[in-house]
Amino acid sequence: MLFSSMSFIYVFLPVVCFLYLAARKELHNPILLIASILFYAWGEPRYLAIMLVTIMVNYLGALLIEKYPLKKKLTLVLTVVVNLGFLIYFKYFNFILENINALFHTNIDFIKVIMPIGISFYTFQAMSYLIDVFRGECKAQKDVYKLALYICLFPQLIAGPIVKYHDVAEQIDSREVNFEKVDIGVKRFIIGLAKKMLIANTMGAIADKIFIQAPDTFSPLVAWIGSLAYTMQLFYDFSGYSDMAIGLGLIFGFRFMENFNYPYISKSITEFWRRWHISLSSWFKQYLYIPLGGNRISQNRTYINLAIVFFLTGLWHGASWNFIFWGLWNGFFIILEKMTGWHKETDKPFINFLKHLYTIFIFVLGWVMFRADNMHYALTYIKNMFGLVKVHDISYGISYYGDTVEVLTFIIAVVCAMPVFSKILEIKQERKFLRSIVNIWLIILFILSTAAIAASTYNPFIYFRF
Amino acid sequence: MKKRVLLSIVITGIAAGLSSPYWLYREPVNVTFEAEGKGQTTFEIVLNKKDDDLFSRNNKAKLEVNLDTTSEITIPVYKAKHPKRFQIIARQDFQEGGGGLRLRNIKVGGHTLDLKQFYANSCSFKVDKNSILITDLTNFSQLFSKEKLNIVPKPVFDAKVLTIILILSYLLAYKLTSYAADFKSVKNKSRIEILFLTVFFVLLILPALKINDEIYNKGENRKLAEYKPFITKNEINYNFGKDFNSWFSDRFFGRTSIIHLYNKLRFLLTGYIYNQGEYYYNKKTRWAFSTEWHSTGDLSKNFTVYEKNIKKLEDFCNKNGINLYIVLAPVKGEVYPDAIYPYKIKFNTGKKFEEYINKSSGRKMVTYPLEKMQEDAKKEYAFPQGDPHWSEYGAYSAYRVLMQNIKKDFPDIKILNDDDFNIEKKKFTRTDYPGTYFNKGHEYNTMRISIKNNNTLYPSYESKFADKLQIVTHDSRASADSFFPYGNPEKAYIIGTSFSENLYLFLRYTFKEVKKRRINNSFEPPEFKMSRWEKEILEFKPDIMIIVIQSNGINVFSELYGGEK
Repeated sequence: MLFSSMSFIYVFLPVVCFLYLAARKELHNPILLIASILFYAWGEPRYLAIMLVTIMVNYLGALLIEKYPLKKKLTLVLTVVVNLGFLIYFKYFNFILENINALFHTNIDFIKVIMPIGISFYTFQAMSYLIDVFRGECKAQKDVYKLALYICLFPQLIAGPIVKYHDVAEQIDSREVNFEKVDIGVKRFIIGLAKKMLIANTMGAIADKIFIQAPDTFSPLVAWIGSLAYTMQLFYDFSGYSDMAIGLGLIFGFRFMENFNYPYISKSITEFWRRWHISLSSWFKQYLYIPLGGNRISQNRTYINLAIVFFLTGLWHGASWNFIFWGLWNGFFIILEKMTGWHKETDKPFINFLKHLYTIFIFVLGWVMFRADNMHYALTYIKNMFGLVKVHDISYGISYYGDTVEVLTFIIAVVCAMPVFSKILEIKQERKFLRSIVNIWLIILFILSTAAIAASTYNPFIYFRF
Repeated sequence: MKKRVLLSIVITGIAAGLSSPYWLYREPVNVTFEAEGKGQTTFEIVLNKKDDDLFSRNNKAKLEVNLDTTSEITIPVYKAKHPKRFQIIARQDFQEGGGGLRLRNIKVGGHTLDLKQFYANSCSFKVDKNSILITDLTNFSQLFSKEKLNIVPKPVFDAKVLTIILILSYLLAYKLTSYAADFKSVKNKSRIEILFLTVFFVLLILPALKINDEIYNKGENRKLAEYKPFITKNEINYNFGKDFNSWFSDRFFGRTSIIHLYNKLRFLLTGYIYNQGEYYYNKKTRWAFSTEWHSTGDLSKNFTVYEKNIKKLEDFCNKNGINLYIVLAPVKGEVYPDAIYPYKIKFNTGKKFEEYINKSSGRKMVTYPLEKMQEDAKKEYAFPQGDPHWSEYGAYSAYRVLMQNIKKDFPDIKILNDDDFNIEKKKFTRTDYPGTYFNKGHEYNTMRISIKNNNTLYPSYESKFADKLQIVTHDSRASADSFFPYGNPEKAYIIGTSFSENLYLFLRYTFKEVKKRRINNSFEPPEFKMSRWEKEILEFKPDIMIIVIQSNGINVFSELYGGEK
């Protein structure tokens, strides 16, 4: 089920909210667990089996680690192998076959498999639990239902944030649901929904119109419009989803970590990755970069560790070479910044301005790789952005890509990507007028977002479409 | 305390007002008729509050009966205050060539309806002296009456219900105000935030309060998604989630209004080109387009596949003494390349296809009337501004070119000209519907935006011998047989998409006997396979077969004899 669907917002959410808020505290976890399972099974019930197996494997694995400390390393390795086995099979198997075929000129058939939704997220969450238990940072969860709730908690199940076990273990046992949390949670949910429906989708429509065409059939200006539109789409889509997840978490009493912190204002790629998809980068930092030695061994080893981390970050995002190149692209600039000290803070405004431009330039080009179907497309597209491609057969004029609504949305997107309204949910009680304005505006945003969802279901039959 | 009592009284008053339909209402309007047919049949009566064809404000009632022979049926329609128009929907599980259903003596609130004023949307029917015969009852047969009703049912006052509502509302309101007061004082929360959350949660439950149970949505011109249970016939429906979402998204309370509001807002904010999904509307030129309506795409690489299937079809025709013709209807953007700015035409597949097939067949089998239509379009609208299909004028232009090509094989054939018609300028009517019934407001319906003051007039052609034409329609695939005594003696068989409809307006007066068959309609997926029609063609023995496909749809020739769909 998607947060931005009519059945989630207007059927699932009110029913779960009503049951949860009306029920006794002891019933909160069972209600959430049932709701989470239902939420997951909604789209594809068969893949629930994989998630349930993941829960059981990690539950038993953690208990064994705790019970047999001498063999805990072996148990950890075996359990991680099972976790990654599922992930590799469903997400990367065909990619591996494709590369084997290309490398050895073989013709091995692809397997028919559909990737279970959210598998990358819940697998990482499950491994977080296991490693935390292995390190002794927390105790193995004896109650399988509580562990199941941690792994499949519906607000963050499909698109994060990737909640680490040690961050929520206590909250699963006991948490307070109060008026403030519900109030802020609802507001965060509305903001997230509006980001997704009103900004991300509008920007996405522009990007789709451009990226669907051959990369040498539009002008460099259009190529830049496409990459900037996609830059906005990705941020608002992903951070919108995170906002909705954090908001829903609050409604049910959980406090999840922030996943985005205005990444587009960064002045270096290093800073960008401290602000973008924070839960993933901190996961990689805690469970991969530091165990590899981090920056404690030697400078060269630090660079190698960073390259490994960003290679895997790219791969985590998708089974395709363009994701890997995108990861390495980011890793390359982070290493470069470390070598030159470019990422260090300075108080010179002009230098900061240049640094900011540099960062935007790097991540925008990176997003082209991220969006493209393959690296060949991405490279031709990037060349086109700099006028290095002979453009032919231009199909559309510039106004095909957007009108007033799109331009207006883009301006709003740029403004809201900066911390202009960052304190909007923290207005003091005494400032009643301002609070009222914000509340009314949020309700309007909610109605508009619903209208956008409803409008997307408007599907007239045109006889001509044949 | 006084405040609470006063507030409770006010809330009770509001509750009584809102619940008035339950204690002060009108008697039901009884709809009675005799039904003659067989099988489990569901009748749905829809009484429209307005005197229009849209049936957007209506009261409904349903009844399922097992028909054997003739049954007297009475269906009470509740809450119908002052109905103006009548509609009846009859449903049976669809069976190709299934039996008919005869309706007699249809009375609404005691008033007998004039059967001659009935028209259909999705079924074929005949009117005899005192009955209507739905010739092939399908899973959705919808009949409308044009007759304006004047029925005012008697009011009924139910004091008992009002008493219950008043007492219960007061008690509930008193308790609620007490609860709200406690909440305020105990929790000490800001009223602004309480109000905010209240509004949010009220909004959250509104859409599910009432589910639209309509089968068909006229505005969208499609059937709405049906509810499919999680378990059916001992099988788990693994798509339940998706099915449920489709069902709910199609039917939640206030859907039409909120979509209209959203699109209106976006339309207002748009300066030049309004875009909605794949549809575009140029606010300056007032032309609507979609990417599909505009460009044909380059399909020439598959010509050999199409040629192979067309050759097979031609062999079938030759074997049975039939002359085959293919009309390639130019798409809107080919005829009007300058009417919407952001597009530029790249390909001209139609021309290439015409030349390719005509060369291989050695005759003028394919007619692609682009040049003639572009020339004629300078005088009148060959396409309506807001619809993808060619206008009657556009179809007439294409008809003349087609008939010139047919005349090369049938020299004695008479081609209709302007003198054969009464040509009158009318507001555009949707090409897929009979023009008489949908003569306003539908032009831009596909975009769910209403554009007022659009008084563009389009030529409409009515034969001078229209009264001599006989039409029998068959099933929900919009098929029709026509008989015209003054037509050419050759028999014609037409297979086409929606473009065939306006062309048929002329072809049915050209030949004595014409059978028109549709490839696609709103009820079933398109299927362009000769196996659908071969048997009938052999029985009908036509002299001429005409296939009507638009120029961006020639890829369907790959599926003519199996192959991909």
